[in-house]
Amino acid sequence: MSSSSTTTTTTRLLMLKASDGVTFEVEEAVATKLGAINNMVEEEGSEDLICLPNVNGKFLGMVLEWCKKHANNNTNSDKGNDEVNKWWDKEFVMDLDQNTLYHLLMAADYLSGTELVDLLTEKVASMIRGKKVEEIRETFKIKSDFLPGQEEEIRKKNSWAFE
Amino acid sequence: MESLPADITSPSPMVKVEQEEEEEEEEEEERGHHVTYSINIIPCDIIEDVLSRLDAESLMQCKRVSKSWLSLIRHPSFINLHLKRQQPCMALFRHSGDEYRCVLSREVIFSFHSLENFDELSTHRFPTTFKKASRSLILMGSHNGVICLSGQVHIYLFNPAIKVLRTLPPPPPPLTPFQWDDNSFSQLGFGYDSLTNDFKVVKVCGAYDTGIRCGYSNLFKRCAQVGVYSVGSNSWKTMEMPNLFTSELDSVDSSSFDVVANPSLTCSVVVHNSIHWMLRFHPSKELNHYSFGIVAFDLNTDDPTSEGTANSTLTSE
Repeated sequence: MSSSSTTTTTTRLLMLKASDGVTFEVEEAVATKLGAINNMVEEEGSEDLICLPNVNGKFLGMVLEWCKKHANNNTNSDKGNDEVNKWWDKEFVMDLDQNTLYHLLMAADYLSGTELVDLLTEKVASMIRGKKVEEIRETFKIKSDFLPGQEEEIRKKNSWAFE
Repeated sequence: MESLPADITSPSPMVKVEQEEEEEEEEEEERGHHVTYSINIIPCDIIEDVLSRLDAESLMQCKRVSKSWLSLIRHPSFINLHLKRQQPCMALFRHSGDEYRCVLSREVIFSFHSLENFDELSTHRFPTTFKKASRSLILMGSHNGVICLSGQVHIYLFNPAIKVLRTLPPPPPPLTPFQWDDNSFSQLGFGYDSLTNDFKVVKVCGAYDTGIRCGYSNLFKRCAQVGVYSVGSNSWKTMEMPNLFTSELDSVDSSSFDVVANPSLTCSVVVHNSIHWMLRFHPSKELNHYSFGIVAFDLNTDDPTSEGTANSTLTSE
Protein backbone atom coordinates (compact mmCIF):
# COMPACT_ATOMS: atom_id res chain seq x y z
CA MET A 1 0.00 0.00 0.00
CA SER A 2 2.68 2.50 0.96
CA SER A 3 5.63 3.82 -1.02
CA SER A 4 7.89 0.90 -0.16
CA SER A 5 7.60 -0.49 -3.72
CA THR A 6 9.03 1.05 -6.87
CA THR A 7 7.66 4.33 -8.21
CA THR A 8 5.84 2.79 -11.19
CA THR A 9 3.28 1.05 -8.95
CA THR A 10 2.25 4.01 -6.85
CA THR A 11 -0.84 5.02 -8.82
CA ARG A 12 -1.37 2.20 -11.23
CA LEU A 13 -4.63 2.46 -13.12
CA LEU A 14 -6.83 -0.47 -14.04
CA MET A 15 -9.46 -0.60 -16.75
CA LEU A 16 -12.63 -2.39 -15.74
CA LYS A 17 -15.02 -3.38 -18.50
CA ALA A 18 -18.66 -4.06 -17.63
CA SER A 19 -20.98 -6.49 -19.42
CA ASP A 20 -22.47 -3.71 -21.56
CA GLY A 21 -19.05 -2.52 -22.68
CA VAL A 22 -18.84 0.50 -20.39
CA THR A 23 -15.31 0.91 -19.08
CA PHE A 24 -14.03 2.52 -15.90
CA GLU A 25 -10.52 3.68 -15.17
CA VAL A 26 -9.81 3.14 -11.52
CA GLU A 27 -6.80 3.32 -9.26
CA GLU A 28 -5.56 -0.09 -8.30
CA ALA A 29 -5.84 0.71 -4.59
CA VAL A 30 -9.53 1.45 -5.06
CA ALA A 31 -10.41 -1.52 -7.27
CA THR A 32 -8.60 -4.03 -5.08
CA LYS A 33 -11.00 -3.27 -2.25
CA LEU A 34 -13.07 -5.78 -4.20
CA GLY A 35 -11.87 -9.29 -3.41
CA ALA A 36 -12.55 -10.62 -6.90
CA ILE A 37 -10.48 -7.89 -8.56
CA ASN A 38 -7.75 -8.22 -6.00
CA ASN A 39 -7.47 -11.92 -6.88
CA MET A 40 -7.37 -11.21 -10.60
CA VAL A 41 -4.63 -8.61 -10.14
CA GLU A 42 -2.58 -10.95 -7.99
CA GLU A 43 -3.01 -13.90 -10.33
CA GLU A 44 -2.66 -12.23 -13.69
CA GLY A 45 -0.39 -9.43 -12.60
CA SER A 46 0.40 -7.38 -15.68
CA GLU A 47 -3.09 -7.33 -17.20
CA ASP A 48 -4.53 -3.82 -17.08
CA LEU A 49 -7.91 -4.51 -18.66
CA ILE A 50 -10.29 -6.58 -16.58
CA CYS A 51 -13.55 -7.80 -18.11
CA LEU A 52 -16.50 -8.30 -15.78
CA PRO A 53 -19.19 -10.03 -17.85
CA ASN A 54 -21.62 -10.40 -14.93
CA VAL A 55 -22.02 -6.75 -13.97
CA ASN A 56 -23.47 -3.98 -16.07
CA GLY A 57 -22.06 -0.49 -16.19
CA LYS A 58 -24.66 1.18 -13.99
CA PHE A 59 -24.07 -1.06 -11.01
CA LEU A 60 -20.32 -1.43 -11.51
CA GLY A 61 -20.17 2.36 -11.44
CA MET A 62 -22.03 2.46 -8.14
CA VAL A 63 -19.87 -0.24 -6.59
CA LEU A 64 -16.74 1.65 -7.63
CA GLU A 65 -18.14 4.92 -6.28
CA TRP A 66 -18.51 3.23 -2.91
CA CYS A 67 -14.97 1.78 -3.09
CA LYS A 68 -13.52 5.16 -4.00
CA LYS A 69 -15.22 6.87 -1.09
CA HIS A 70 -14.01 4.28 1.36
CA ALA A 71 -10.48 4.18 -0.06
CA ASN A 72 -10.21 7.99 0.20
CA ASN A 73 -11.59 8.10 3.69
CA ASN A 74 -9.19 5.44 4.82
CA THR A 75 -6.08 7.20 3.50
CA ASN A 76 -6.84 10.31 5.51
CA SER A 77 -5.70 9.12 8.88
CA ASP A 78 -8.39 11.05 10.69
CA LYS A 79 -9.81 9.60 13.84
CA GLY A 80 -13.36 10.36 12.76
CA ASN A 81 -12.98 8.15 9.70
CA ASP A 82 -15.26 5.44 10.94
CA GLU A 83 -17.90 8.02 11.63
CA VAL A 84 -17.48 9.55 8.18
CA ASN A 85 -17.74 6.14 6.54
CA LYS A 86 -20.82 5.29 8.52
CA TRP A 87 -22.49 8.54 7.68
CA TRP A 88 -21.63 8.17 4.04
CA ASP A 89 -22.83 4.55 3.97
CA LYS A 90 -26.14 5.64 5.40
CA GLU A 91 -26.56 8.22 2.67
CA PHE A 92 -25.51 5.69 0.07
CA VAL A 93 -28.26 3.17 0.89
CA MET A 94 -30.94 5.62 1.94
CA ASP A 95 -32.65 6.33 -1.34
CA LEU A 96 -31.97 3.13 -3.23
CA ASP A 97 -35.06 1.72 -4.89
CA GLN A 98 -35.50 -2.01 -4.53
CA ASN A 99 -34.47 -2.84 -8.07
CA THR A 100 -31.18 -0.97 -7.70
CA LEU A 101 -30.65 -2.39 -4.24
CA TYR A 102 -30.97 -6.00 -5.44
CA HIS A 103 -28.76 -5.56 -8.50
CA LEU A 104 -26.18 -3.65 -6.54
CA LEU A 105 -26.18 -6.38 -3.92
CA MET A 106 -25.64 -9.05 -6.55
CA ALA A 107 -22.87 -7.00 -8.16
CA ALA A 108 -21.15 -6.49 -4.80
CA ASP A 109 -21.48 -10.20 -4.07
CA TYR A 110 -20.03 -11.16 -7.46
CA LEU A 111 -17.12 -8.80 -6.97
CA SER A 112 -16.59 -10.01 -3.37
CA GLY A 113 -16.94 -6.55 -1.90
CA THR A 114 -17.52 -7.96 1.56
CA GLU A 115 -18.11 -4.69 3.39
CA LEU A 116 -20.52 -3.44 0.76
CA VAL A 117 -22.41 -6.76 0.80
CA ASP A 118 -22.71 -6.36 4.58
CA LEU A 119 -24.05 -2.86 4.19
CA LEU A 120 -26.65 -3.84 1.60
CA THR A 121 -27.83 -7.09 3.23
CA GLU A 122 -28.27 -5.15 6.45
CA LYS A 123 -30.36 -2.62 4.51
CA VAL A 124 -32.63 -5.41 3.19
CA ALA A 125 -32.86 -6.93 6.67
CA SER A 126 -33.95 -3.56 8.05
CA MET A 127 -36.82 -3.61 5.56
CA ILE A 128 -38.05 -6.90 7.07
CA ARG A 129 -37.47 -6.30 10.76
CA GLY A 130 -40.62 -5.85 12.84
CA LYS A 131 -43.01 -6.44 9.94
CA LYS A 132 -45.86 -8.91 9.74
CA VAL A 133 -45.99 -11.66 7.11
CA GLU A 134 -48.41 -9.79 4.88
CA GLU A 135 -46.31 -6.63 5.07
CA ILE A 136 -43.17 -8.54 4.17
CA ARG A 137 -44.87 -10.14 1.17
CA GLU A 138 -46.11 -6.80 0.00
CA THR A 139 -42.81 -5.02 0.46
CA PHE A 140 -40.89 -7.64 -1.46
CA LYS A 141 -43.55 -8.65 -4.00
CA ILE A 142 -43.59 -12.25 -2.88
CA LYS A 143 -46.63 -14.40 -3.55
CA SER A 144 -47.49 -17.00 -0.94
CA ASP A 145 -47.18 -20.48 -2.41
CA PHE A 146 -48.61 -22.24 0.64
CA LEU A 147 -51.74 -24.32 0.28
CA PRO A 148 -54.70 -23.09 2.30
CA GLY A 149 -54.21 -24.16 5.90
CA GLN A 150 -50.46 -24.78 5.59
CA GLU A 151 -49.55 -21.31 6.71
CA GLU A 152 -51.91 -21.56 9.66
CA GLU A 153 -50.19 -24.79 10.63
CA ILE A 154 -46.79 -23.09 10.68
CA ARG A 155 -48.22 -20.26 12.73
CA LYS A 156 -49.46 -22.74 15.31
CA LYS A 157 -46.13 -24.55 15.42
CA ASN A 158 -44.39 -21.23 15.82
CA SER A 159 -46.09 -20.78 19.13
CA TRP A 160 -43.23 -22.73 20.54
CA ALA A 161 -39.73 -22.30 19.23
CA PHE A 162 -39.03 -25.97 18.80
CA GLU A 163 -40.78 -28.40 16.54
CA MET B 1 -36.95 -32.29 14.34
CA GLU B 2 -36.00 -28.74 14.26
CA SER B 3 -34.91 -26.16 16.67
CA LEU B 4 -35.39 -22.64 15.73
CA PRO B 5 -32.61 -20.31 16.61
CA ALA B 6 -33.85 -18.44 19.58
CA ASP B 7 -32.47 -15.01 19.80
CA ILE B 8 -31.67 -13.92 23.28
CA THR B 9 -30.30 -10.63 22.10
CA SER B 10 -33.83 -9.36 21.82
CA PRO B 11 -35.76 -8.15 18.85
CA SER B 12 -35.75 -4.42 19.24
CA PRO B 13 -39.27 -3.12 19.46
CA MET B 14 -39.76 -1.21 16.25
CA VAL B 15 -41.77 1.90 15.80
CA LYS B 16 -44.48 0.31 13.78
CA VAL B 17 -46.41 3.43 12.81
CA GLU B 18 -43.44 5.01 11.11
CA GLN B 19 -42.69 1.86 9.21
CA GLU B 20 -46.15 1.51 7.83
CA GLU B 21 -46.05 5.03 6.51
CA GLU B 22 -42.75 4.42 4.84
CA GLU B 23 -44.10 1.34 3.21
CA GLU B 24 -47.09 3.11 1.76
CA GLU B 25 -44.86 5.67 0.17
CA GLU B 26 -42.73 2.97 -1.38
CA GLU B 27 -45.76 1.28 -2.73
CA GLU B 28 -47.05 4.38 -4.46
CA GLU B 29 -43.69 4.93 -6.01
CA GLU B 30 -43.60 1.40 -7.26
CA ARG B 31 -47.01 1.59 -8.87
CA GLY B 32 -46.07 4.80 -10.58
CA HIS B 33 -43.09 3.21 -12.26
CA HIS B 34 -44.85 -0.06 -13.10
CA VAL B 35 -42.02 -2.01 -11.62
CA THR B 36 -42.33 -5.78 -11.59
CA TYR B 37 -39.23 -6.93 -9.80
CA SER B 38 -39.12 -9.06 -6.71
CA ILE B 39 -36.61 -10.06 -4.12
CA ASN B 40 -36.72 -13.50 -5.74
CA ILE B 41 -34.07 -12.42 -8.25
CA ILE B 42 -31.52 -12.52 -5.44
CA PRO B 43 -29.67 -15.82 -5.09
CA CYS B 44 -30.48 -18.03 -2.16
CA ASP B 45 -27.19 -17.57 -0.29
CA ILE B 46 -27.67 -13.80 -0.17
CA ILE B 47 -31.24 -14.22 1.13
CA GLU B 48 -29.78 -16.50 3.79
CA ASP B 49 -27.33 -13.76 4.74
CA VAL B 50 -30.17 -11.23 4.99
CA LEU B 51 -32.43 -13.44 7.10
CA SER B 52 -29.63 -14.46 9.45
CA ARG B 53 -29.43 -10.83 10.55
CA LEU B 54 -32.99 -10.86 11.87
CA ASP B 55 -34.24 -11.34 15.40
CA ALA B 56 -36.24 -14.44 16.31
CA GLU B 57 -39.57 -12.65 16.25
CA SER B 58 -39.10 -11.39 12.71
CA LEU B 59 -37.96 -14.85 11.62
CA MET B 60 -41.23 -16.29 12.89
CA GLN B 61 -42.99 -14.01 10.42
CA CYS B 62 -40.53 -14.82 7.63
CA LYS B 63 -41.21 -18.55 7.94
CA ARG B 64 -44.76 -17.92 6.76
CA VAL B 65 -43.79 -15.79 3.76
CA SER B 66 -43.20 -18.59 1.26
CA LYS B 67 -42.17 -22.22 0.97
CA SER B 68 -38.66 -21.36 -0.10
CA TRP B 69 -38.10 -19.01 2.84
CA LEU B 70 -39.52 -21.62 5.18
CA SER B 71 -37.19 -24.37 4.00
CA LEU B 72 -34.26 -21.97 4.08
CA ILE B 73 -34.95 -20.93 7.69
CA ARG B 74 -35.44 -24.53 8.78
CA HIS B 75 -32.16 -25.68 7.31
CA PRO B 76 -29.51 -26.59 9.91
CA SER B 77 -26.88 -24.50 8.13
CA PHE B 78 -29.11 -21.44 8.50
CA ILE B 79 -29.75 -22.15 12.16
CA ASN B 80 -26.00 -22.29 12.76
CA LEU B 81 -25.39 -19.12 10.80
CA HIS B 82 -28.10 -17.33 12.74
CA LEU B 83 -26.74 -18.45 16.09
CA LYS B 84 -23.25 -17.30 15.14
CA ARG B 85 -24.59 -13.82 14.49
CA GLN B 86 -26.08 -13.46 17.97
CA GLN B 87 -24.22 -11.47 20.56
CA PRO B 88 -23.91 -13.26 23.87
CA CYS B 89 -25.59 -11.33 26.64
CA MET B 90 -26.41 -11.55 30.29
CA ALA B 91 -29.87 -12.12 31.74
CA LEU B 92 -31.00 -10.76 35.08
CA PHE B 93 -34.37 -11.20 36.63
CA ARG B 94 -36.08 -9.53 39.51
CA HIS B 95 -39.48 -9.00 41.02
CA SER B 96 -41.06 -5.71 40.24
CA GLY B 97 -42.17 -3.73 43.25
CA ASP B 98 -40.82 -1.78 46.15
CA GLU B 99 -38.16 -3.77 47.94
CA TYR B 100 -37.70 -1.27 50.75
CA ARG B 101 -41.25 -1.63 51.89
CA CYS B 102 -41.12 -5.36 51.37
CA VAL B 103 -43.88 -5.11 48.86
CA LEU B 104 -42.78 -7.42 46.14
CA SER B 105 -45.25 -7.91 43.38
CA ARG B 106 -45.84 -11.29 41.92
CA GLU B 107 -44.47 -10.21 38.60
CA VAL B 108 -41.04 -11.22 37.44
CA ILE B 109 -39.11 -9.00 35.04
CA PHE B 110 -36.20 -10.21 32.92
CA SER B 111 -33.65 -7.83 31.54
CA PHE B 112 -30.87 -8.55 29.08
CA HIS B 113 -27.58 -6.76 29.18
CA SER B 114 -24.69 -6.39 26.81
CA LEU B 115 -21.59 -8.22 27.98
CA GLU B 116 -19.42 -5.36 26.77
CA ASN B 117 -20.82 -2.46 28.76
CA PHE B 118 -23.75 -3.99 30.66
CA ASP B 119 -26.18 -1.68 28.89
CA GLU B 120 -29.71 -2.91 29.08
CA LEU B 121 -30.74 -4.31 25.70
CA SER B 122 -34.32 -5.26 26.47
CA THR B 123 -36.72 -6.19 29.22
CA HIS B 124 -39.39 -8.86 29.23
CA ARG B 125 -42.13 -9.69 31.64
CA PHE B 126 -42.39 -13.31 32.66
CA PRO B 127 -45.82 -14.37 31.38
CA THR B 128 -46.98 -15.94 34.64
CA THR B 129 -47.47 -14.43 38.07
CA PHE B 130 -47.01 -16.26 41.33
CA LYS B 131 -49.00 -16.52 44.50
CA LYS B 132 -46.01 -15.74 46.63
CA ALA B 133 -43.35 -13.38 45.45
CA SER B 134 -40.60 -14.97 47.45
CA ARG B 135 -38.90 -18.13 46.30
CA SER B 136 -40.81 -18.03 43.09
CA LEU B 137 -38.17 -18.78 40.50
CA ILE B 138 -34.72 -20.27 40.38
CA LEU B 139 -32.60 -20.01 37.26
CA MET B 140 -31.44 -23.48 36.25
CA GLY B 141 -29.54 -22.70 33.12
CA SER B 142 -29.86 -21.28 29.64
CA HIS B 143 -28.94 -22.24 26.13
CA ASN B 144 -29.32 -20.43 22.81
CA GLY B 145 -31.74 -17.96 24.30
CA VAL B 146 -33.93 -20.50 26.07
CA ILE B 147 -33.98 -20.18 29.84
CA CYS B 148 -34.83 -23.00 32.23
CA LEU B 149 -36.49 -21.89 35.46
CA SER B 150 -37.66 -23.85 38.41
CA GLY B 151 -40.66 -22.57 40.30
CA GLN B 152 -42.11 -23.95 43.46
CA VAL B 153 -44.54 -26.11 41.57
CA HIS B 154 -43.53 -26.17 37.95
CA ILE B 155 -40.48 -26.19 35.76
CA TYR B 156 -40.53 -23.67 32.93
CA LEU B 157 -38.71 -23.14 29.68
CA PHE B 158 -38.89 -19.52 28.63
CA ASN B 159 -37.84 -17.90 25.39
CA PRO B 160 -38.09 -14.15 26.03
CA ALA B 161 -37.22 -13.12 22.48
CA ILE B 162 -40.41 -14.62 21.09
CA LYS B 163 -42.32 -14.30 24.39
CA VAL B 164 -43.02 -17.99 24.62
CA LEU B 165 -43.32 -19.95 27.83
CA ARG B 166 -43.60 -23.69 28.11
CA THR B 167 -44.66 -25.20 31.42
CA LEU B 168 -43.29 -28.70 31.63
CA PRO B 169 -45.65 -31.55 32.42
CA PRO B 170 -45.21 -32.77 35.99
CA PRO B 171 -42.37 -35.26 36.38
CA PRO B 172 -43.46 -38.85 36.98
CA PRO B 173 -43.94 -39.97 40.57
CA PRO B 174 -41.01 -41.76 42.19
CA LEU B 175 -40.34 -45.39 41.39
CA THR B 176 -40.65 -46.50 44.95
CA PRO B 177 -44.00 -46.61 46.69
CA PHE B 178 -42.78 -44.50 49.61
CA GLN B 179 -43.72 -40.99 50.08
CA TRP B 180 -41.73 -38.53 48.12
CA ASP B 181 -41.15 -34.95 49.05
CA ASP B 182 -41.63 -32.07 46.64
CA ASN B 183 -39.21 -30.25 44.37
CA SER B 184 -36.93 -29.18 47.15
CA PHE B 185 -35.48 -32.66 47.12
CA SER B 186 -34.31 -32.57 43.58
CA GLN B 187 -31.46 -31.31 41.51
CA LEU B 188 -32.09 -29.99 38.03
CA GLY B 189 -29.95 -29.65 34.96
CA PHE B 190 -30.73 -28.11 31.60
CA GLY B 191 -28.89 -28.74 28.38
CA TYR B 192 -29.06 -28.98 24.64
CA ASP B 193 -28.32 -32.13 22.71
CA SER B 194 -26.63 -30.91 19.56
CA LEU B 195 -26.85 -34.33 17.91
CA THR B 196 -30.64 -34.47 17.95
CA ASN B 197 -31.27 -30.71 18.19
CA ASP B 198 -33.26 -31.23 21.34
CA PHE B 199 -33.39 -29.45 24.67
CA LYS B 200 -33.42 -31.64 27.76
CA VAL B 201 -34.19 -31.09 31.40
CA VAL B 202 -32.73 -33.63 33.81
CA LYS B 203 -34.15 -34.01 37.29
CA VAL B 204 -32.45 -36.11 39.90
CA CYS B 205 -34.61 -36.75 42.92
CA GLY B 206 -34.26 -38.59 46.15
CA ALA B 207 -35.87 -41.99 46.51
CA TYR B 208 -35.81 -44.78 49.00
CA ASP B 209 -33.52 -47.73 48.90
CA THR B 210 -34.70 -50.67 51.00
CA GLY B 211 -35.95 -48.40 53.66
CA ILE B 212 -32.90 -46.17 53.80
CA ARG B 213 -33.77 -42.76 52.71
CA CYS B 214 -31.72 -41.02 50.04
CA GLY B 215 -32.87 -37.52 50.79
CA TYR B 216 -31.65 -34.08 49.94
CA SER B 217 -28.06 -34.90 50.68
CA ASN B 218 -27.93 -38.12 48.75
CA LEU B 219 -29.30 -37.33 45.35
CA PHE B 220 -26.63 -38.84 43.17
CA LYS B 221 -26.55 -42.26 44.72
CA ARG B 222 -27.79 -45.55 43.42
CA CYS B 223 -31.58 -45.76 43.47
CA ALA B 224 -32.02 -42.04 43.12
CA GLN B 225 -34.47 -41.40 40.36
CA VAL B 226 -33.38 -39.67 37.18
CA GLY B 227 -36.09 -38.04 35.11
CA VAL B 228 -35.28 -36.84 31.62
CA TYR B 229 -37.60 -34.46 29.84
CA SER B 230 -37.03 -33.70 26.19
CA VAL B 231 -38.68 -30.83 24.36
CA GLY B 232 -38.98 -32.98 21.23
CA SER B 233 -41.19 -35.54 22.93
CA ASN B 234 -42.70 -33.14 25.50
CA SER B 235 -42.60 -35.94 28.04
CA TRP B 236 -40.52 -37.41 30.84
CA LYS B 237 -38.84 -40.75 31.01
CA THR B 238 -37.36 -42.10 34.17
CA MET B 239 -34.54 -44.38 35.14
CA GLU B 240 -32.60 -45.33 38.16
CA MET B 241 -29.28 -43.79 39.04
CA PRO B 242 -26.59 -46.44 38.60
CA ASN B 243 -24.03 -46.95 41.32
CA LEU B 244 -21.38 -44.47 40.33
CA PHE B 245 -18.98 -44.80 43.19
CA THR B 246 -18.07 -48.44 43.44
CA SER B 247 -14.69 -48.24 41.77
CA GLU B 248 -13.70 -45.27 43.87
CA LEU B 249 -14.39 -46.90 47.14
CA ASP B 250 -14.13 -50.66 46.89
CA SER B 251 -13.79 -51.20 50.56
CA VAL B 252 -16.78 -49.13 51.60
CA ASP B 253 -20.35 -50.06 50.99
CA SER B 254 -21.33 -47.22 48.76
CA SER B 255 -24.91 -47.17 49.86
CA SER B 256 -23.82 -46.12 53.30
CA PHE B 257 -22.00 -42.89 52.59
CA ASP B 258 -23.31 -39.43 51.93
CA VAL B 259 -23.20 -37.78 48.53
CA VAL B 260 -23.88 -34.08 48.63
CA ALA B 261 -24.31 -31.84 45.66
CA ASN B 262 -21.89 -29.06 46.40
CA PRO B 263 -24.03 -26.32 47.88
CA SER B 264 -21.97 -23.55 46.37
CA LEU B 265 -22.34 -25.03 42.91
CA THR B 266 -25.92 -26.18 42.82
CA CYS B 267 -26.23 -24.90 39.29
CA SER B 268 -25.14 -27.43 36.73
CA VAL B 269 -22.65 -26.67 33.98
CA VAL B 270 -22.96 -27.94 30.42
CA VAL B 271 -19.73 -28.84 28.68
CA HIS B 272 -19.24 -31.14 25.67
CA ASN B 273 -22.85 -32.20 25.36
CA SER B 274 -23.00 -33.25 29.02
CA ILE B 275 -24.53 -31.71 32.11
CA HIS B 276 -22.09 -31.66 35.03
CA TRP B 277 -22.79 -31.40 38.73
CA MET B 278 -20.12 -31.00 41.30
CA LEU B 279 -20.56 -32.99 44.46
CA ARG B 280 -18.89 -33.89 47.68
CA PHE B 281 -19.04 -37.21 49.39
CA HIS B 282 -18.14 -38.66 52.72
CA PRO B 283 -16.81 -42.18 52.34
CA SER B 284 -16.49 -42.67 56.03
CA LYS B 285 -18.44 -41.63 59.06
CA GLU B 286 -15.87 -39.00 59.93
CA LEU B 287 -17.35 -35.70 58.93
CA ASN B 288 -14.05 -34.00 58.15
CA HIS B 289 -13.04 -36.65 55.68
CA TYR B 290 -14.50 -36.12 52.25
CA SER B 291 -13.82 -36.12 48.53
CA PHE B 292 -15.00 -34.03 45.63
CA GLY B 293 -16.34 -35.50 42.47
CA ILE B 294 -18.15 -34.62 39.31
CA VAL B 295 -21.12 -36.43 37.89
CA ALA B 296 -21.80 -36.00 34.20
CA PHE B 297 -24.98 -36.70 32.35
CA ASP B 298 -24.54 -37.35 28.63
CA LEU B 299 -27.34 -35.49 26.87
CA ASN B 300 -27.22 -37.71 23.83
CA THR B 301 -27.13 -41.14 25.42
CA ASP B 302 -28.95 -40.14 28.62
CA ASP B 303 -26.18 -41.77 30.60
CA PRO B 304 -25.03 -40.60 33.99
CA THR B 305 -21.35 -41.28 34.63
CA SER B 306 -18.90 -40.43 37.33
CA GLU B 307 -16.16 -38.20 36.02
CA GLY B 308 -13.98 -39.38 38.83
CA THR B 309 -12.99 -37.58 41.90
CA ALA B 310 -11.21 -34.37 41.14
CA ASN B 311 -9.43 -34.11 44.47
CA SER B 312 -9.10 -37.38 46.21
CA THR B 313 -9.34 -36.77 49.91
CA LEU B 314 -9.19 -33.65 51.91
CA THR B 315 -8.66 -34.13 55.56
CA SER B 316 -8.32 -31.63 58.27
CA GLU B 317 -7.40 -31.88 61.89
